Amino acid sequence: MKQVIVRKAVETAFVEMPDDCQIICRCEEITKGEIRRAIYDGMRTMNEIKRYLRAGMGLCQGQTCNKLVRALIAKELKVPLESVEIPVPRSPVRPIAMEVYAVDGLKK
Amino acid sequence: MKRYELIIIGAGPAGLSAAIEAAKAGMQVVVFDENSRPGGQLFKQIHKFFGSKEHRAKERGYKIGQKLLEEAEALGVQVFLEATVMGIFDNKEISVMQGEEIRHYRANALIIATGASENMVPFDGWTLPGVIGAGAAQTMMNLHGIKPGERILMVGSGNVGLVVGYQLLQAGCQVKAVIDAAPKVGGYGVHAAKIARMGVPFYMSHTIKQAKGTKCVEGATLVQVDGKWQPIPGTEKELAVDTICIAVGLSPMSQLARIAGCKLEEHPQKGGAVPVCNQYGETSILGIYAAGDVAGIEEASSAMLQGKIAGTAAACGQGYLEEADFQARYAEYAHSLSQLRQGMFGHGSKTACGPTVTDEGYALSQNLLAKGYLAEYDLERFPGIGKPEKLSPDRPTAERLTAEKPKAEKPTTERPTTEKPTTEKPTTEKLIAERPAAERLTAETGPGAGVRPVIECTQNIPCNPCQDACKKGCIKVGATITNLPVIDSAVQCTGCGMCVVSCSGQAIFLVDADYAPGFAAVSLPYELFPLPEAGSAGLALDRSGTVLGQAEVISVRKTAAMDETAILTMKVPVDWAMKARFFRAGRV
Repeated sequence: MKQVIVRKAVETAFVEMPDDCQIICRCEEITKGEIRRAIYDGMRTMNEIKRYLRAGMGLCQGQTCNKLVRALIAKELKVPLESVEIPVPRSPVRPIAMEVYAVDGLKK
Repeated sequence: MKRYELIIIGAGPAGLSAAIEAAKAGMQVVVFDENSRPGGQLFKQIHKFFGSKEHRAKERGYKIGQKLLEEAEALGVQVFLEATVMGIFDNKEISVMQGEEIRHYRANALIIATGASENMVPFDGWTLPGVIGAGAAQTMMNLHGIKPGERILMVGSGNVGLVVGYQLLQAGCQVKAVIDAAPKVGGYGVHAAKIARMGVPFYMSHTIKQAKGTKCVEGATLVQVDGKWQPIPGTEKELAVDTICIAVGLSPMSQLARIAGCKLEEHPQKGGAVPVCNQYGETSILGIYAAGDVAGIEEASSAMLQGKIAGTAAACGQGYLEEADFQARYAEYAHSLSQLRQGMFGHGSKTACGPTVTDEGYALSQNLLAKGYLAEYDLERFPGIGKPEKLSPDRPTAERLTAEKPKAEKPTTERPTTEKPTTEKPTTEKLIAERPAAERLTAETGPGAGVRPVIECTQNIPCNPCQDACKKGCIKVGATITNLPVIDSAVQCTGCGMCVVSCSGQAIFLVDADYAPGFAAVSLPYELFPLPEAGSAGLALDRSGTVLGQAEVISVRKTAAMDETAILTMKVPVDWAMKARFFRAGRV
């Protein structure tokens, strides 16, 4: 059954930090401030951040920023890092040209 | 769709070792690797490995890589390069990008040996060109022959940071500092000591605040942190560097295991999300194994053993090995692996503050942990340093000898010079000095005197080649390979130097306090080019890299058996016998 997730944003007001302009996801150039804001908007896992901001969807497929984003979520929500869900990877795990990927299964 | 008996993803130390074991058992094995060269990280590892003989200790990583490749090839293992596995699907089907095409294969058994990637730490300016991973620096230097920069800051004092720091020095870069937010050096003390004595300062409890520069790195700002990792205002330091190497750990590349449906767990000690495996490396899916860094960050030596275990397990699972045969091999490999995991750096010993004494009960050198080198007062308590009475305070020193002479040629200053022997010196001494070094070093100089090894190995690390290196049996480690080496003072050292070159941590020195009246000869491992010539002058440095004063090269020995590590013997005033630990070629 589909479940509607009703989730409130973080109750305390969003406080801007001096290092909010720091880039966390290099591939997609997503800043710390954007990610923190997303957490306040109700994003709680790397998967949600990914869909919301595209962090972790670039060239390295989150291999670099996954840990950093999860650490930010843990810090903002004041929960242990282990409790923040591991992102779900999908095939293709590496960047691939669409002209190659699109013909998978069509040849021969 | 082509079907193979065993598909291995990743041609690094774990993948190749697994392939070799399975092929030996008679399996048809294929290995896919996304890189253009096989061997994973092995071909970047130009240093000698730790462990014991069966772990291929004191062999250099790239040579181990060559041997693995040759062995795999001889057994008919097919290695496909530039073949990127894109996904794992039901029934062990994989899709591989090879050139402009995606091909699908199916396997009876699958071993995931995809390794790890480097962690990053964000700070102001961390995306500037010039901020690179330590592994990237290693790739540039050791695979492509490119210096990553001139003046380097190394962030992270684990073994990766320390080893790459040393290799940067070998490549001719200046390493301006090694920093770590932790209060103690994270890697092996011997690796730290190796670069500390070359003059690299260690700043523990420091983090990087900012990489300066507009288009590339032009400098770095460090800041001290308190016990809660918070920066302490006002403790900022500026460093003029053009390259910042990040060595703050690795993360297992476990995505394919997750896609395959293997159960994963978040395991901080293993470096992140890793597949849950049994003792044979088998994941929650029957017939899918994980080996090497992808199953938890460890050394290449451990990865090779995990690969062997997974390879034999896969062979047994597919009926290529009898259960009894498999169990016998497993027991051997598991024992070998457990040896590597012993000691204060091993699995499960990473306590919050770390041990304070060795397994034998010797207090650890706090100086080594805080500054990267042993303090002189630390030396006496360790069993590899030898009997301190051999360097008793009433031994004639350079000062005393010159003072005793009625007409001293030159009063010895704070920085004694090491002039060549003049005609005024005793002829016997001159004769000794003129003899070939190897011969002279073996010469009997009387009971209880002469050359002896000094082993500055003070932490329980899994390594014992020094024990086998000494033909006289002067060095004992014992059955537990993490024991500290013990010097048997009753055995007369021949000065052959094989212990010096066999020590992967470069922690063994030969000290001859009776080299000449007032002078000692200190032999040390030397791996810089060009090699200094015998008779040339340079500077003697102490363990902290501080210049003691001038030294003269007595000999530089290098043979095939030494595997590229030369033994440099320098003449220093006898006072420095237990101080001088590095030689810097050239003038002040």
